[in-house]
Amino acid sequence: MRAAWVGDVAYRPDGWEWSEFDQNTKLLVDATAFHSWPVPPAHGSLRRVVFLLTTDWLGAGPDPVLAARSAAAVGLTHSLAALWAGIGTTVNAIAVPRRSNLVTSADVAHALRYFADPLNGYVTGQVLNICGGQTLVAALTA
Amino acid sequence: MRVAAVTGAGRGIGFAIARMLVRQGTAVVVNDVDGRAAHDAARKLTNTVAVVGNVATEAGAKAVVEAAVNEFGGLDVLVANAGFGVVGVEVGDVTAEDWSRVIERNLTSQFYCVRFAVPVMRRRGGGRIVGISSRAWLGQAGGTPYAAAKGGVVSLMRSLALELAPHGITANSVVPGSIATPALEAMDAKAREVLLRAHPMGRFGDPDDVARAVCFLAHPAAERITGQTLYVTGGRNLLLPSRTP
Repeated sequence: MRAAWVGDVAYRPDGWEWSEFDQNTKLLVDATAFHSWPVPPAHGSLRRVVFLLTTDWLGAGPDPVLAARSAAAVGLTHSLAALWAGIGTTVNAIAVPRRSNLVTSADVAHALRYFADPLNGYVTGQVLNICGGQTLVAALTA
Repeated sequence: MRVAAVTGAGRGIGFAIARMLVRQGTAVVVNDVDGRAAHDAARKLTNTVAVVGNVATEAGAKAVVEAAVNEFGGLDVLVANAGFGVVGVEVGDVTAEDWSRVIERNLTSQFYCVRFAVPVMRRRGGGRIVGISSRAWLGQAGGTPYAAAKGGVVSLMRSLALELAPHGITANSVVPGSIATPALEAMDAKAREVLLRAHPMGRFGDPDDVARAVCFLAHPAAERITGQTLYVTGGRNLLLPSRTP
Protein backbone atom coordinates (compact mmCIF):
# COMPACT_ATOMS: atom_id res chain seq x y z
CA MET A 1 0.00 0.00 0.00
CA ARG A 2 1.28 3.45 -0.89
CA ALA A 3 0.19 6.11 1.53
CA ALA A 4 1.68 9.28 0.07
CA TRP A 5 -0.70 10.08 -2.70
CA VAL A 6 -2.36 13.42 -2.08
CA GLY A 7 -0.79 16.54 -3.59
CA ASP A 8 0.07 18.78 -0.68
CA VAL A 9 -0.08 16.09 1.95
CA ALA A 10 3.14 14.58 3.20
CA TYR A 11 3.67 11.46 5.20
CA ARG A 12 6.94 11.01 6.99
CA PRO A 13 8.75 9.12 5.73
CA ASP A 14 7.56 9.42 2.18
CA GLY A 15 6.93 6.43 -0.03
CA TRP A 16 5.41 4.38 2.73
CA GLU A 17 5.07 0.68 2.03
CA TRP A 18 2.96 -1.48 4.24
CA SER A 19 5.56 -4.24 4.09
CA GLU A 20 8.23 -1.84 5.35
CA PHE A 21 6.43 -1.10 8.57
CA ASP A 22 9.19 -1.87 11.05
CA GLN A 23 11.82 -0.21 8.95
CA ASN A 24 9.80 2.95 8.69
CA THR A 25 9.04 2.98 12.36
CA LYS A 26 12.77 3.07 12.93
CA LEU A 27 13.21 5.86 10.39
CA LEU A 28 10.59 7.82 12.23
CA VAL A 29 12.60 7.63 15.43
CA ASP A 30 15.76 8.58 13.60
CA ALA A 31 13.88 11.74 12.73
CA THR A 32 13.55 12.57 16.41
CA ALA A 33 17.34 12.51 16.54
CA PHE A 34 17.40 15.20 13.83
CA HIS A 35 19.08 12.95 11.28
CA SER A 36 16.50 13.52 8.59
CA TRP A 37 13.79 15.79 9.86
CA PRO A 38 12.79 18.45 7.32
CA VAL A 39 12.65 22.14 8.00
CA PRO A 40 9.34 23.40 9.36
CA PRO A 41 6.71 23.62 6.64
CA ALA A 42 6.26 26.96 4.97
CA HIS A 43 2.79 28.34 5.37
CA GLY A 44 0.55 26.95 2.67
CA SER A 45 2.82 24.15 1.53
CA LEU A 46 2.73 21.23 3.94
CA ARG A 47 -0.70 21.15 5.57
CA ARG A 48 -1.24 17.58 6.70
CA VAL A 49 1.29 15.28 8.33
CA VAL A 50 0.26 11.75 9.28
CA PHE A 51 2.59 9.38 11.08
CA LEU A 52 2.09 5.67 10.90
CA LEU A 53 3.30 3.81 13.94
CA THR A 54 2.56 0.80 16.08
CA THR A 55 0.51 0.48 19.24
CA ASP A 56 3.73 -0.56 20.97
CA TRP A 57 3.77 3.03 22.32
CA LEU A 58 1.37 1.76 24.99
CA GLY A 59 4.03 -0.62 26.21
CA ALA A 60 5.46 -3.79 24.71
CA GLY A 61 6.81 -6.17 27.33
CA PRO A 62 8.73 -8.46 24.98
CA ASP A 63 10.37 -5.54 23.17
CA PRO A 64 10.84 -2.37 25.21
CA VAL A 65 13.06 -0.80 22.54
CA LEU A 66 10.24 -0.90 20.01
CA ALA A 67 7.91 0.52 22.63
CA ALA A 68 10.29 3.39 23.26
CA ARG A 69 10.64 4.12 19.56
CA SER A 70 6.91 4.17 19.10
CA ALA A 71 6.38 6.33 22.17
CA ALA A 72 8.95 8.78 20.83
CA ALA A 73 6.87 9.12 17.71
CA VAL A 74 3.84 9.94 19.85
CA GLY A 75 5.78 12.69 21.60
CA LEU A 76 6.86 13.98 18.21
CA THR A 77 3.27 14.00 17.01
CA HIS A 78 2.02 15.97 20.00
CA SER A 79 4.88 18.44 19.92
CA LEU A 80 4.86 19.14 16.20
CA ALA A 81 1.08 19.49 16.32
CA ALA A 82 1.40 22.19 18.97
CA LEU A 83 4.35 23.80 17.18
CA TRP A 84 2.69 24.01 13.77
CA ALA A 85 -0.92 24.64 14.78
CA GLY A 86 -0.43 28.37 14.30
CA ILE A 87 0.37 27.94 10.62
CA GLY A 88 -2.54 25.59 10.00
CA THR A 89 -0.53 22.39 9.60
CA THR A 90 -2.07 19.40 11.37
CA VAL A 91 0.04 16.51 12.67
CA ASN A 92 -1.67 13.25 13.57
CA ALA A 93 -0.73 9.60 13.98
CA ILE A 94 -2.29 6.26 13.24
CA ALA A 95 -1.15 3.35 15.40
CA VAL A 96 -1.79 -0.27 14.53
CA PRO A 97 -0.81 -3.51 16.26
CA ARG A 98 2.53 -4.81 15.00
CA ARG A 99 1.62 -8.46 15.06
CA SER A 100 -1.99 -8.81 14.09
CA ASN A 101 -4.00 -9.95 11.14
CA LEU A 102 -6.92 -7.94 12.43
CA VAL A 103 -6.07 -4.60 10.83
CA THR A 104 -5.95 -4.28 7.07
CA SER A 105 -4.53 -1.63 4.78
CA ALA A 106 -8.12 -0.60 4.00
CA ASP A 107 -8.63 0.25 7.68
CA VAL A 108 -5.54 2.43 7.64
CA ALA A 109 -6.50 4.02 4.33
CA HIS A 110 -9.83 5.15 5.75
CA ALA A 111 -8.09 6.93 8.61
CA LEU A 112 -5.42 8.38 6.35
CA ARG A 113 -8.05 9.90 4.10
CA TYR A 114 -9.69 11.49 7.14
CA PHE A 115 -6.52 13.02 8.53
CA ALA A 116 -5.33 14.05 5.07
CA ASP A 117 -8.60 15.73 4.10
CA PRO A 118 -7.84 19.38 3.22
CA LEU A 119 -11.07 20.34 5.01
CA ASN A 120 -10.03 18.57 8.20
CA GLY A 121 -8.01 21.37 9.72
CA TYR A 122 -9.13 21.30 13.37
CA VAL A 123 -7.98 17.84 14.43
CA THR A 124 -4.33 17.78 15.41
CA GLY A 125 -2.10 15.89 17.81
CA GLN A 126 -4.39 12.88 17.69
CA VAL A 127 -3.02 9.37 18.06
CA LEU A 128 -5.68 7.06 16.69
CA ASN A 129 -5.28 3.41 17.61
CA ILE A 130 -6.81 1.14 15.01
CA CYS A 131 -6.90 -2.12 16.85
CA GLY A 132 -10.50 -3.35 17.11
CA GLY A 133 -10.41 -2.47 20.79
CA GLN A 134 -7.35 -4.59 21.61
CA THR A 135 -5.50 -1.74 23.33
CA LEU A 136 -8.36 -0.54 25.49
CA VAL A 137 -7.06 -2.25 28.59
CA ALA A 138 -3.97 -0.02 28.43
CA ALA A 139 -4.43 3.03 30.60
CA LEU A 140 -2.91 5.56 28.23
CA THR A 141 -5.25 5.20 25.27
CA ALA A 142 -7.55 8.04 26.35
CA MET B 1 -29.84 2.87 2.96
CA ARG B 2 -28.02 3.55 6.21
CA VAL B 3 -30.05 4.98 9.04
CA ALA B 4 -28.81 7.29 11.79
CA ALA B 5 -30.30 8.92 14.84
CA VAL B 6 -28.84 12.17 16.12
CA THR B 7 -29.96 13.55 19.47
CA GLY B 8 -29.87 17.26 20.17
CA ALA B 9 -29.91 17.86 16.41
CA GLY B 10 -32.09 20.96 16.36
CA ARG B 11 -29.18 23.37 16.21
CA GLY B 12 -25.44 23.82 16.53
CA ILE B 13 -23.20 20.75 16.51
CA GLY B 14 -26.08 18.26 16.36
CA PHE B 15 -27.62 19.92 13.34
CA ALA B 16 -24.25 19.99 11.54
CA ILE B 17 -23.86 16.25 12.21
CA ALA B 18 -27.33 15.47 10.88
CA ARG B 19 -26.73 17.63 7.81
CA MET B 20 -23.43 15.92 6.95
CA LEU B 21 -24.91 12.44 7.43
CA VAL B 22 -27.81 13.36 5.11
CA ARG B 23 -25.36 14.66 2.51
CA GLN B 24 -23.63 11.29 2.64
CA GLY B 25 -26.91 9.55 1.81
CA THR B 26 -27.98 8.56 5.31
CA ALA B 27 -31.57 8.73 6.52
CA VAL B 28 -31.61 10.59 9.83
CA VAL B 29 -33.89 10.75 12.86
CA VAL B 30 -33.55 14.33 14.07
CA ASN B 31 -34.23 14.55 17.79
CA ASP B 32 -34.42 17.62 19.96
CA VAL B 33 -36.19 18.54 23.18
CA ASP B 34 -37.14 21.83 21.51
CA GLY B 35 -40.01 20.96 19.18
CA ARG B 36 -39.64 23.94 16.90
CA ALA B 37 -35.88 23.38 16.51
CA ALA B 38 -36.40 19.69 15.73
CA HIS B 39 -39.05 20.34 13.09
CA ASP B 40 -37.13 23.26 11.55
CA ALA B 41 -34.00 21.11 11.29
CA ALA B 42 -35.90 18.22 9.73
CA ARG B 43 -37.54 20.57 7.23
CA LYS B 44 -34.16 21.92 6.12
CA LEU B 45 -32.88 18.42 5.36
CA THR B 46 -34.16 15.65 3.11
CA ASN B 47 -34.82 12.09 4.21
CA THR B 48 -35.29 12.91 7.86
CA VAL B 49 -37.95 12.57 10.50
CA ALA B 50 -38.25 14.80 13.55
CA VAL B 51 -38.73 13.30 16.99
CA VAL B 52 -39.42 15.80 19.76
CA GLY B 53 -38.53 14.58 23.20
CA ASN B 54 -36.11 14.53 26.09
CA VAL B 55 -33.66 11.63 25.72
CA ALA B 56 -32.76 11.97 29.40
CA THR B 57 -35.94 9.98 29.95
CA GLU B 58 -36.36 6.35 28.96
CA ALA B 59 -39.51 7.18 27.00
CA GLY B 60 -37.73 9.94 25.07
CA ALA B 61 -34.79 7.72 24.14
CA LYS B 62 -37.04 4.82 23.20
CA ALA B 63 -39.06 7.07 20.89
CA VAL B 64 -35.91 8.03 18.95
CA VAL B 65 -34.94 4.41 18.29
CA GLU B 66 -38.52 3.40 17.51
CA ALA B 67 -38.78 6.19 14.95
CA ALA B 68 -35.68 4.88 13.19
CA VAL B 69 -37.19 1.40 13.02
CA ASN B 70 -40.70 2.47 12.09
CA GLU B 71 -39.76 5.15 9.55
CA PHE B 72 -36.59 3.73 8.02
CA GLY B 73 -36.54 0.04 8.96
CA GLY B 74 -33.69 -0.04 11.47
CA LEU B 75 -30.72 1.81 12.93
CA ASP B 76 -27.05 1.73 11.91
CA VAL B 77 -25.65 4.84 13.56
CA LEU B 78 -26.43 6.44 16.92
CA VAL B 79 -24.95 9.85 17.59
CA ALA B 80 -25.60 10.71 21.24
CA ASN B 81 -25.10 14.44 21.20
CA ALA B 82 -27.82 15.98 23.37
CA GLY B 83 -26.54 17.79 26.44
CA PHE B 84 -25.78 21.15 27.91
CA GLY B 85 -22.97 22.76 29.83
CA VAL B 86 -22.90 24.54 33.16
CA VAL B 87 -19.72 26.43 34.00
CA GLY B 88 -18.64 29.05 36.48
CA VAL B 89 -20.06 27.36 39.57
CA GLU B 90 -17.69 26.38 42.37
CA VAL B 91 -18.18 22.88 43.66
CA GLY B 92 -19.47 24.06 47.02
CA ASP B 93 -22.29 25.89 45.28
CA VAL B 94 -23.37 22.95 43.13
CA THR B 95 -26.67 21.69 44.47
CA ALA B 96 -27.68 18.04 44.41
CA GLU B 97 -30.37 18.98 41.92
CA ASP B 98 -27.84 20.71 39.64
CA TRP B 99 -25.56 17.67 39.80
CA SER B 100 -28.34 15.22 38.95
CA ARG B 101 -29.69 17.38 36.13
CA VAL B 102 -26.30 17.73 34.45
CA ILE B 103 -25.49 14.03 34.79
CA GLU B 104 -28.92 13.03 33.48
CA ARG B 105 -28.88 15.33 30.48
CA ASN B 106 -25.27 14.67 29.45
CA LEU B 107 -24.58 11.08 30.48
CA THR B 108 -27.72 9.15 31.43
CA SER B 109 -29.34 10.27 28.17
CA GLN B 110 -26.55 8.56 26.23
CA PHE B 111 -26.98 5.37 28.26
CA TYR B 112 -30.74 5.31 27.58
CA CYS B 113 -30.25 5.78 23.84
CA VAL B 114 -27.58 3.08 23.72
CA ARG B 115 -29.73 0.64 25.66
CA PHE B 116 -32.54 0.88 23.14
CA ALA B 117 -30.29 1.12 20.08
CA VAL B 118 -28.05 -1.90 20.71
CA PRO B 119 -30.70 -4.64 20.25
CA VAL B 120 -31.75 -3.02 16.96
CA MET B 121 -28.14 -2.79 15.77
CA ARG B 122 -27.50 -6.39 16.73
CA ARG B 123 -30.41 -7.46 14.56
CA ARG B 124 -28.77 -5.53 11.68
CA GLY B 125 -25.48 -7.33 12.27
CA GLY B 126 -23.55 -4.29 13.48
CA GLY B 127 -23.58 -0.57 14.01
CA ARG B 128 -21.78 2.58 15.02
CA ILE B 129 -22.22 4.48 18.27
CA VAL B 130 -20.65 7.89 18.67
CA GLY B 131 -20.88 9.69 21.99
CA ILE B 132 -20.24 13.41 22.01
CA SER B 133 -18.04 14.22 25.00
CA SER B 134 -16.23 17.49 25.65
CA ARG B 135 -12.69 18.66 26.24
CA ALA B 136 -14.02 19.49 29.71
CA TRP B 137 -13.71 15.81 30.59
CA LEU B 138 -9.98 16.39 31.05
CA GLY B 139 -10.91 18.61 33.98
CA GLN B 140 -12.67 21.94 34.24
CA ALA B 141 -12.58 24.32 37.18
CA GLY B 142 -16.07 25.58 37.86
CA GLY B 143 -17.64 22.82 35.82
CA THR B 144 -17.35 19.71 37.95
CA PRO B 145 -20.74 18.11 37.12
CA TYR B 146 -20.34 18.73 33.40
CA ALA B 147 -16.74 17.50 33.33
CA ALA B 148 -17.69 14.38 35.27
CA ALA B 149 -20.61 13.68 32.95
CA LYS B 150 -18.45 14.09 29.85
CA GLY B 151 -15.77 11.90 31.39
CA GLY B 152 -18.50 9.37 31.93
CA VAL B 153 -19.26 9.50 28.22
CA VAL B 154 -15.66 8.52 27.39
CA SER B 155 -15.79 5.66 29.86
CA LEU B 156 -19.21 4.57 28.60
CA MET B 157 -17.95 4.39 25.02
CA ARG B 158 -14.82 2.46 25.98
CA SER B 159 -16.89 -0.07 27.90
CA LEU B 160 -19.36 -0.41 25.07
CA ALA B 161 -16.46 -0.93 22.67
CA LEU B 162 -15.26 -3.91 24.66
CA GLU B 163 -18.72 -5.34 25.20
CA LEU B 164 -20.10 -4.87 21.69
CA ALA B 165 -17.04 -5.68 19.56
CA PRO B 166 -18.16 -9.31 19.10
CA HIS B 167 -21.40 -7.99 17.61
CA GLY B 168 -19.79 -5.71 15.02
CA ILE B 169 -20.80 -2.57 16.89
CA THR B 170 -18.16 0.11 17.45
CA ALA B 171 -18.36 2.83 20.10
CA ASN B 172 -16.20 5.93 20.10
CA SER B 173 -16.13 9.38 21.67
CA VAL B 174 -15.75 12.67 19.86
CA VAL B 175 -14.35 15.42 22.04
CA PRO B 176 -15.11 18.92 20.80
CA GLY B 177 -13.22 21.89 22.15
CA SER B 178 -14.60 25.39 21.79
CA ILE B 179 -16.89 25.29 18.78
CA ALA B 180 -18.40 28.40 17.19
CA THR B 181 -22.02 27.85 18.13
CA PRO B 182 -24.62 30.42 19.26
CA ALA B 183 -23.74 29.55 22.87
CA LEU B 184 -20.10 30.52 22.34
CA GLU B 185 -21.03 33.68 20.46
CA ALA B 186 -23.21 34.71 23.40
CA MET B 187 -20.13 34.82 25.67
CA ASP B 188 -18.74 38.08 26.97
CA ALA B 189 -16.31 39.47 24.37
CA LYS B 190 -13.38 39.71 26.77
CA ALA B 191 -13.87 36.17 28.05
CA ARG B 192 -14.09 34.93 24.45
CA GLU B 193 -10.81 36.67 23.62
CA VAL B 194 -9.08 35.02 26.58
CA LEU B 195 -10.48 31.67 25.51
CA LEU B 196 -9.32 32.18 21.94
CA ARG B 197 -5.74 32.76 23.12
CA ALA B 198 -5.78 29.23 24.58
CA HIS B 199 -6.20 27.81 21.10
CA PRO B 200 -2.94 27.24 19.25
CA MET B 201 -4.73 27.41 15.92
CA GLY B 202 -5.96 30.89 16.74
CA ARG B 203 -9.57 30.10 15.97
CA PHE B 204 -12.57 28.30 17.34
CA GLY B 205 -13.78 25.13 15.69
CA ASP B 206 -16.66 24.92 13.27
CA PRO B 207 -19.62 22.59 13.87
CA ASP B 208 -18.68 20.89 10.59
CA ASP B 209 -15.29 19.96 12.10
CA VAL B 210 -17.17 17.90 14.69
CA ALA B 211 -19.55 16.53 12.08
CA ARG B 212 -16.61 15.37 9.95
CA ALA B 213 -15.16 13.45 12.91
CA VAL B 214 -18.51 11.81 13.61
CA CYS B 215 -18.98 10.81 9.96
CA PHE B 216 -15.47 9.35 9.89
CA LEU B 217 -16.22 7.11 12.88
CA ALA B 218 -19.76 6.31 11.68
CA HIS B 219 -18.55 5.17 8.26
CA PRO B 220 -18.82 1.46 7.38
CA ALA B 221 -15.05 1.43 6.74
CA ALA B 222 -14.35 2.36 10.38
CA GLU B 223 -15.18 -1.14 11.56
CA ARG B 224 -11.92 -1.65 13.50
CA ILE B 225 -11.83 1.75 15.12
CA THR B 226 -13.47 1.36 18.50
CA GLY B 227 -13.08 2.68 22.02
CA GLN B 228 -11.20 5.70 20.71
CA THR B 229 -11.39 9.30 21.85
CA LEU B 230 -11.11 11.71 18.92
CA TYR B 231 -10.30 15.29 19.86
CA VAL B 232 -11.67 18.13 17.72
CA THR B 233 -10.00 20.89 19.67
CA GLY B 234 -7.58 22.61 17.31
CA GLY B 235 -4.75 21.29 19.47
CA ARG B 236 -5.94 22.98 22.67
CA ASN B 237 -5.58 19.77 24.63
CA LEU B 238 -1.86 19.70 23.71
CA LEU B 239 -0.88 22.84 25.55
CA LEU B 240 0.86 22.57 28.86
CA PRO B 241 -1.13 24.01 31.78
CA SER B 242 1.39 26.83 32.17
CA ARG B 243 0.48 28.08 28.71
CA THR B 244 -3.26 27.84 29.22
CA PRO B 245 -4.99 30.92 30.64
